Formats: sequence, C-alpha cells, structure tokens
Amino acid sequence: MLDKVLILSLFFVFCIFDLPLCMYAKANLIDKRLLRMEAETSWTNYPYSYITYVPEAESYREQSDDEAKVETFSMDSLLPDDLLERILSFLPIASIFRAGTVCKRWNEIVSSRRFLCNFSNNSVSQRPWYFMFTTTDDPSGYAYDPIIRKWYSFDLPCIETSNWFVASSCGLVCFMDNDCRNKIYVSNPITKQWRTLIEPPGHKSTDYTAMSTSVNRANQAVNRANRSYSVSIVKSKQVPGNFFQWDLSIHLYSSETMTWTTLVNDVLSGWRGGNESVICNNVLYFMIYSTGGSDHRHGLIASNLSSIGSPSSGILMRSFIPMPCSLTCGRLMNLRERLVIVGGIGKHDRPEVIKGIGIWVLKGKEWVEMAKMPQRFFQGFGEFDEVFASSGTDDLVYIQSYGSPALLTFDMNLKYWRWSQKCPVTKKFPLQLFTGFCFEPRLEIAP
Amino acid sequence: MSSNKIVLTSSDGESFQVEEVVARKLQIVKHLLEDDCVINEIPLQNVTGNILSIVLEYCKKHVDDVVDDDASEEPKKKKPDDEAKQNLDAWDAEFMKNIDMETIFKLILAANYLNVEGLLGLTCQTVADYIKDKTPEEVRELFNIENDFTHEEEEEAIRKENAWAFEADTKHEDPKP
Repeated sequence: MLDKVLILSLFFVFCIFDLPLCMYAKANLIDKRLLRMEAETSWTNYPYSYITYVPEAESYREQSDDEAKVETFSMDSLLPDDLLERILSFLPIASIFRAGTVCKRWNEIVSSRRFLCNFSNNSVSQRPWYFMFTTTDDPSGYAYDPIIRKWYSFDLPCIETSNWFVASSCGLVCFMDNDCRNKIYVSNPITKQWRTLIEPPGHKSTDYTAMSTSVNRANQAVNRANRSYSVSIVKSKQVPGNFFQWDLSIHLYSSETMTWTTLVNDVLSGWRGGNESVICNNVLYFMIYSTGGSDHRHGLIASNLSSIGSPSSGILMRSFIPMPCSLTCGRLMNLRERLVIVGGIGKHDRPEVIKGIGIWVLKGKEWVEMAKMPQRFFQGFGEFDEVFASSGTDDLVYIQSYGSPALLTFDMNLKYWRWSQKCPVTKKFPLQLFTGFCFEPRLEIAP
Repeated sequence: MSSNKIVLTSSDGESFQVEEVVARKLQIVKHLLEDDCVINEIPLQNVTGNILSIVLEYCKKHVDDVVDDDASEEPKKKKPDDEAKQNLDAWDAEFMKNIDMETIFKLILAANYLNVEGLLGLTCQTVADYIKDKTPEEVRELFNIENDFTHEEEEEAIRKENAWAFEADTKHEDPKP
C-alpha cells in the first residue's frame, strides 16, 4: 500500500511540474497525426513524463484512472513509422499477423511492401518450421515454430492426402500427388497462395519419382515476391522384363518460362532411382539404389542443372558418389547450399538395423561427418529400417520418429540437439505412423 | 588515433566526457569527426541527459565490437570469440531488463538519431520480444492504443486462414518422450 502511495505522489509531482506541457498536449489530443509529427521533430518536448509506465505497476494504473484518463495517447505515437516498422520486423510470423489486428496504423505497416522486404532480410526472427501429419489419410496436422516453441493447428493448401510428395525451398512448398504423380502445386503455406503446374513430361506412370524445388537465390536486389524458381522431377521406371535396367529421366520446370525441359533421358544398369532428391547450388542430387551386382546398396548422383540435355547414355553414372556408409532412411537436404544427408547407420552384419543416426555434409565428392545423434536421444528411434523421417533447411535439421510424434532438432551452427516442445497429438493406434516435412515460413514469396 | 576525450552535451545541458573511440560508436559523431575539424565538444540537441547516459553506457561496453558500423543489408554473424559474444549478449539482456518500456522507446529514438546501430537493433528486438507472445488486446493495453477497427474490419483482418496465429497457448507437457 505504501509503495502505491509513493508512486501516486511522485505522479502528482510530475503532473505539476509538467503542467504547461500537459495543456499543450490536451489541445492537440484530437489530431493524433500532429502529435506524431511533433514526436518526429522535437520529441523531447513531448509530455510523456506524466505517464511513467512501468510494467510491474499495472495495478496502480486502475487506481489513478482519473489522472491517466486526462491524457490518453498511445505510446506508439512516440515512434515514426519506420521505427515502428523496424520493431515489428523482429517479430515471428504468428506475431506479425496478430500485430496487424492491433489498430489500423499497425495493419498498414505490416501490409506494406516495404515491410515485407525488410522483414525477409531479418533472418534472425524466422527459423524453419516443421509440419507434422497427424493422421494417415487427410493432410491435417500441426506446424512447429522452433523460436516460440509452439505448435499451431495449421492447414496446408493444395495437398489432399498425407502421402503426397513434398519439397520446399525459401518459403515455397511444392506438393505432388502420389497416384498418377502428375498433379503438382507450388504454394506459400503462410499466405496460402498457390498455383498448379502443367503436367511434367516423361513416363505417364512411374515406379519412383523424386521431386525437388529451388528458389533462385541470385540477384537479391530483385523484388523478392517475384523470385523465379525451378521444380525438378526424376522419374524412374523399370524397363519391362528387365530387372537390372531402369529408365531414368530428369525434367526441370522453370517459373520464368512456365514450361518443362527434359534434361536427361538415360538408362541405368544395376541401379534405380528413388524418391529422394534435392537441389543445392544449382546441382540436382538424387539417391539411387542398387538392384543387385554392386558393393554399394545405394549412392548419389550429382547432376548439374546448368548443362542442359546430354545425348550420351551412361552420363549419369559418371557423377556417382557413394554413400558415407551403409545408411537407412537416407534423406537429402539443402542447408544453406550445403548438401546434407541424414541417415541411420546400419550394423555391419545387419545393415537394415541401425545403431545410430548420423549427419554428413558433402564437400566436393567427399562426405564429412557433421554430427552423430547422442545415445540418449537415439533411444527414441528403435531398431527398424524405415523408422524415422528427417527434413531440414537453412541451419536446422528435424528428425522425427515414425512411430511417435516425437521431434528432435539439430542446430547445425551451434551443434546442439534438442527435443521440440511435445506435439499436441497422441498416438491413436499401435501402427500409426507420423511423418512430416520442414519449410521456411515466409510472407514475401509468391508461387 | 590518440585517446582523445570528447565532450557530448545533451539538450538539457548535461555534459559527458568520453573517449573518442566510444564517441565514435555514435555514427553522427563519427561523421562529424571525419570532416577533419578538431572538435572537442559536440552538442546533441535531440537527446536528454538521462537517455544519453544510457546510450553511452551501452557504447562503452560495446566499444570493442567487431561489427562493421557502416550499415550493411545483410545481418552479419560476427564470431570473434564465442564466449565473449555470449557474455556480451548476457550483458545486453541484463542491461535491457532494468529499463522500462517508455525509456526503451526514447532509447530507440535516440539510437536512431545518434545512429548507434547495435543499440537500435537491441532496443527494437527487446520491444518485439515483449509483444511477441501477447494477444492484440494485450498489446493495445500495453501501449494504450485505441482499437480503431470497426467490428467488420477487425473480422476481416483476422482472416480465417490466419486463425492459427491467434490460437491461445495450449499447455504442453515436458518435451522428453
């Protein structure tokens, strides 16, 4: 009680001291814009001192309501637009949407083009999210924000079932259906804008398809909303009647021309393509799997997207890179234009059983081990083959256990492993599987 | 560069004597000095004494920052020494913790006028951190902002597809499965 009396008396002292200035402010109360201009030019004359706002002292404000009501001005009017804009640019995406509903001025600021451009430059506030599918059929699920450590009940545009193919780059997410594999959508899951792509060329039905996308990072000065992007499709189909031979074709879509180009039409012997690919530094990397007759179970092909179309067959195998070791659930990802693979390390005698999970970075043609999951985390991942999903972008790797909604994150910079906040979903039946993918939440990019 | 002392005077007549290298953290001072004049005293008309003293406290602590003071577009990840950086970040957090919101606003204006990039970033980030978890109503209350939307306009602003951003916090159990 005593401290409240003290604060009140201090308050009165300030009031009296600033009385002439109080009158000045009252006269201008109606025209808020004038107040703001005053703030911009000679803000030190502004009579702010009589409202000594201290966060802890909220309770006392109710008591001195009479005094507070005398001058009701908003604190944010102290700031010119560009500074308020700068503060809001530090907010995570969810908070930006909320900020836009505070008042008209804030709404105008977060909706402005200039804000979108500045906001996207501020990479500190945004880190990639992880979307987890929580049912086996419909694509509903939750999106995890690692900064606020919160799961949002989030709806994805375009996708129809949770087994669709997904690829993402710089805020754009591509979805492809898993039936005919000819419906491809490019979307921004945050703004919900989306667009369909025309059907890719190549075999109508395939045994395996790998899809990746890449946003053109060059030319940063260009209006970010109009950045061009590519989508790659690697189609794999067994040559009829021949187990060892597989047709493999690579097709590239460019958003600039809005057309597909077939880059490669090759036949692999003893190898087939799969579902795993990623574009990194304008090179398309995709995993291939042995169909017998090789020491390696699987490997990597690095196909430079700049070299268009090659007539000779057998060209693909020239850029073959073996895996760092016998891996399961190998997943490729682009982390700041470094090619990274996450995989289960197979036991020597039983390669389908994993004894650990590792992360490697490709340097040239060599794999360098970046990290191994510490034992205490690995215990959550069991002993089976396709037991976990992993996805990553920017500098964060997400590893998810198929059998439970547990999600582990690895920060590539800090080399730090951490469980996410627990996902608000429980396993409904023993064989329920959970998968997901990661993407960067961006406001400014459009498909 | 000799260890010159420079006197900075606030709008309300308070004077602060600091090392030249500290004063140079204020870009506005740095540009004045670059004009080759010998200046010993600089009046800063748009900053009061109590704010200027806080700014200078920040500058003294950050005098050894490796950050390039010329504002560049990309935020740089300076890594002179990880531990030193962590200590500095901890000091910054403690520094901002003891300042009330209104003073932070004044600091933002001062850091902008005096052009102290590091402090501007820090103060803006602090305000952002303070509001990032708040509902729109809580933000309005905090800054005494009037909700000038009509009911329909407000409904429109919270579009259905962004409803996820307005979800209340659900309590989660411990992260370890």
